[in-house]
Amino acid sequence: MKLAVYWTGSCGGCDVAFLELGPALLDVLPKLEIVFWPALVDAKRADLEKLPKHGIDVALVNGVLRTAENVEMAELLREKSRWLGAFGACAHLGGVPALANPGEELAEVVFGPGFRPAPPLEEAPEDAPPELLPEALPLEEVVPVDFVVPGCPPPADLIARFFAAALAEEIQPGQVFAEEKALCEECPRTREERRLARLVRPHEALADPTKCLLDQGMVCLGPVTRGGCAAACPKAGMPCTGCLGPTPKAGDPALAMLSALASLVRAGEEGEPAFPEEDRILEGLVDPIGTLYKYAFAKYGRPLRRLARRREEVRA
Amino acid sequence: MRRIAIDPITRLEGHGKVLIYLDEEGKLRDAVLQVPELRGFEAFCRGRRAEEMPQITARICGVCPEAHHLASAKALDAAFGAEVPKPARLQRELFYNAYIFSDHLLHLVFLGGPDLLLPEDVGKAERNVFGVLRRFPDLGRRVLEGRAQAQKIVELIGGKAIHPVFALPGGVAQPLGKEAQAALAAAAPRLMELARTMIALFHEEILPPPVPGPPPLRGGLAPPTTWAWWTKTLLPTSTTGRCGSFPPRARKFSASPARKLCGGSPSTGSPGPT
Repeated sequence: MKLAVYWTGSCGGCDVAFLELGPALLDVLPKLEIVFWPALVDAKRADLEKLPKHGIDVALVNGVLRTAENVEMAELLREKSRWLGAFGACAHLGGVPALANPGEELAEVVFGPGFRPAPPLEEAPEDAPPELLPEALPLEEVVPVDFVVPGCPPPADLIARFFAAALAEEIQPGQVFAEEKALCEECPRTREERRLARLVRPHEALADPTKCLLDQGMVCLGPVTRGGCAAACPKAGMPCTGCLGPTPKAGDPALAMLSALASLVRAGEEGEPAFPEEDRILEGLVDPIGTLYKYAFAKYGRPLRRLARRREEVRA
Repeated sequence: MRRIAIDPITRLEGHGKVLIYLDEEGKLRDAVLQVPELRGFEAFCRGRRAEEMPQITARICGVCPEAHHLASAKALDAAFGAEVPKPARLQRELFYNAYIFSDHLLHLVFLGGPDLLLPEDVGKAERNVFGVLRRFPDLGRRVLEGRAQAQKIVELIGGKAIHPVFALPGGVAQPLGKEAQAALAAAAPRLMELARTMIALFHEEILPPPVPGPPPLRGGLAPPTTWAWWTKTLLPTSTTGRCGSFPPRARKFSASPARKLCGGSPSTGSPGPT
């Protein structure tokens, strides 16, 4: 199988994630021909350009699309590949870097007001640094994506599942290599309360090691997030932050989670007299965008951003 | 004008291209290193929850997320004015040491290995981790197994090996369970054995033969007997493990008080290690 792996705006964790397969990697390796993989192999962009259409069997792109060059590379890989997969939360949903959205002023915030990239040589205008996109985008915004290996980074089990399917030529169009059921299904913690009397942040309380974190007032995205990681974060005493992406049932993870929190919150008896106190409890949700859309703001946050802009216009 | 483009630079974490321009006579006219990437942590960390920083800043680099995770946690300790209790401190240290172990294997065999271990006549198609694994299958398997064990320790403490979640301001999310402690104890002897093999390999296959003259500077820790990377300052050490101080020019960049860390007797002013 001819494989290409590429990183756009990424951290490299998705590339290292392949090594997390451990010795199992040695079983997969003889079946692969790596044609392009900047993190690990010396092939250049020119080598990629020389390949015929569909000269790659499977290309995996990790990282968010943040620059014009990222888009060019995504398009190039799409053209050269029979199958193109989004690998990891950034390519799948935008990931953590998309919390910068809309991000029009990104370079000025980072490098200072009035920042301009260095101009290229006069004879080589094509060597100007690539333009930043006004927004960080997931892969599917630019090219058709055939399948997704989700996670930040994808857990080794899911990567193994992907390789098994790819090598058997059994990838289903639109397949997401994770569970359709929620993370809670594989979480060893026990859920009892089903009511929320307070919200606490992870550093404000020592979590009971066996009880559901949501029951203990922590905003755990388990109920709206796909399983597939064996509940790694809740096992470590930290709430799930949703890196495998929302379940098909949940859809927009922030709306689904807000809805779950609103229905769980209870201050004393049910009914209208408790509403002000319940509102106060929900106000304990600090930074709802960063918490509920930690990885998914690019994919799902656009209506919210449009609404915010509209509100500013109305105010002006 | 002739243009040489190395695009992209490969086998290192991060994005870059190198552009070299030569004039008609073949003389260098200009050379540019371009980093065509910006994610903007400086911008999107604003407004986030403070306790999320160890998780968010880990995404600066997925090869060394443990370093960013703990650096951020230390900043939070200071910001909250919280002292880390000893068990939590030891957990963070163990986590980081296991990471250093696994990271050394990653570099020595998989990232640097293609340059260090493969003979000079190996072409670019083979000069990579896969070439190393093909040429040294037994070593490759042992290293993959050893790295998996070390990563398991990182994961047992950190929750996840790549992009850990456990550090919080003033400590860690939960104590280390009995099961995890047993797994650590079981892995330790096997990892020690692998470390000895790798050190021998490094000395026999990689290090150049010794040259006459003073021993070269190398990075060590202060005090050199304490393997607590995440709380200590990197200082030059001699081959006998004694702690020195950086030469005056380098010292400008080192904010650490070398005197204090070295027990009050560094050879200040000496250009090399003591």
